[in-house]
Amino acid sequence: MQHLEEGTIHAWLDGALPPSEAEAVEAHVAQCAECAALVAEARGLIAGTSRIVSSLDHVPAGVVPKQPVQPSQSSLWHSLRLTPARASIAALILVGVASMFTARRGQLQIPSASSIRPDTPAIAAPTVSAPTPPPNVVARPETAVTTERAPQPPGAPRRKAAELAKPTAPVIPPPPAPATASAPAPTEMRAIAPAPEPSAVAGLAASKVAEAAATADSARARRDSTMAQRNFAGASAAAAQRVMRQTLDLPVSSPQGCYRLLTDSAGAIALPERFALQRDSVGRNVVLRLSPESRPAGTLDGFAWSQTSPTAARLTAPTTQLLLTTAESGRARLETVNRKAEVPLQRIPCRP
Amino acid sequence: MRSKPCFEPGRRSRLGPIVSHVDLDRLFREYHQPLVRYLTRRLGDRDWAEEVTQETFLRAARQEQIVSERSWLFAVATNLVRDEARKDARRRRRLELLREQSKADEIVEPESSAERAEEAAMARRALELLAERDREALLMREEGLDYTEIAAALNLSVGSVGTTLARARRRLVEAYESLQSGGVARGSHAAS
Repeated sequence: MQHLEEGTIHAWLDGALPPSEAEAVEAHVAQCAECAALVAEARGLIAGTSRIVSSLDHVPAGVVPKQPVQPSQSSLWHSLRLTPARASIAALILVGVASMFTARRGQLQIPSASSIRPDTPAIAAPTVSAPTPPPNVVARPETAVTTERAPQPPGAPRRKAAELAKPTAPVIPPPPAPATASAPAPTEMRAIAPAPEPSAVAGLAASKVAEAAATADSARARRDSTMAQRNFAGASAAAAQRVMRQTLDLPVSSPQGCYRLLTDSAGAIALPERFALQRDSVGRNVVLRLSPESRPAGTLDGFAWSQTSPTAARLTAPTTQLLLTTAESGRARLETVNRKAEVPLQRIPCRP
Repeated sequence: MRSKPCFEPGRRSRLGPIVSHVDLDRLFREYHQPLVRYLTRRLGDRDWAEEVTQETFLRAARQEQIVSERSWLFAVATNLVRDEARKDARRRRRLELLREQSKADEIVEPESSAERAEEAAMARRALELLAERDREALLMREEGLDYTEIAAALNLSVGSVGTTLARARRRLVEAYESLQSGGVARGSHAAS
């Protein structure tokens, strides 16, 4: 068999070749180093593509508060999806922006829409601990909601998204906070729930739509969660989904993931108590330090890893090399290359 | 295996009664989210994606029957976007401006959110550098469409889907890496 073409390799990896052809390709790859290298490269491209495309999911829903779609009118107002309410909010945003830029730039606080006054932009300074102005709320919830894929009735994802968001940035504020915001904001938040807006044009009942979305979500969530058990990297469920996709072309088990040292290994093994073997956004293998809550807390410089089998990896540290081997039921171990020291590990769930 | 799809949106299938009639509820349940996600990635705007999705389902509702549903839906959605994209440059620029101004309001974001937004922006720029068909094939594949469906949706031969995807994936990753390292990525076609 001649060397494989790129298209054939991708078709094979995508499972699109008929069985006989697939077998022939597999047999050829087994004994052709060049093509095996091409296959490895193709796997990397496929995984990288999935990651890159998944990051596109992080996108703001829109600039102005979302409202039910109005019947089609051929006016500028409609084409910009502006209603008087949105327009006024947009105007307030612009006034706020302008007033802020004339104030001290050191404190970039956002007064809530209802309290914007050009001469007192510092009003919001005391509220810095709960900074959730309507524009931010409006622009972000859809983002936060999109990072959330679990099945929930429309009301719940806002809270769940708030849990997912980092503590320093409450994207969906608890009810007291938007009390200072203008009236439209709470309504907008309800309207932003992941259930698609009932479009007058489509004529689909809102409840049916919400139920449909929830059902579709639950089916996908089930699929996603089995993959997501494997590993997480990054700061959100969107990133988790990203990483989850990168496991699509990995064998069922893989040393990629999060670990915890089970004994105090001071001296023998130069790793923090919790660490992770992951790939970064362009597919390079990285070793991450994890916080006590198993969240990513920085890259360990000078460390790298490479998979040597579905259950093992070589971990390169600045001054030593280690072998990591995974076993059943979430156990694993680290050994120095000379096998003189061994540390038991536990596989732990990675948290965004 | 036939090399070209032999269905067209709106044409009655030669297979006749083997094909189910259009059940809008079921279609919506199964395909609404994937379509919205595909379109959001394609357009960079979730609201817009929702609108196009609704329009797609509207058209589905008008069909007597649809042979290969996922293919058909993605084909219609893709064509709707192609048409709109050509007419819509000015509207998008205005929305972009408003979006930028709104962003100026934001307080210092947590690093992760800003990182994500930056990644998304880079991904978008990289994606725009692909040829239109390559881009569409790639996004459909990411949505789980198989080669037959992609071929049908984009009017390609099944045999050329692999090559298309290979090329698209390579170009995307190269463009993204180039953008990441601060360079200006070269596109093969003018972004359409």
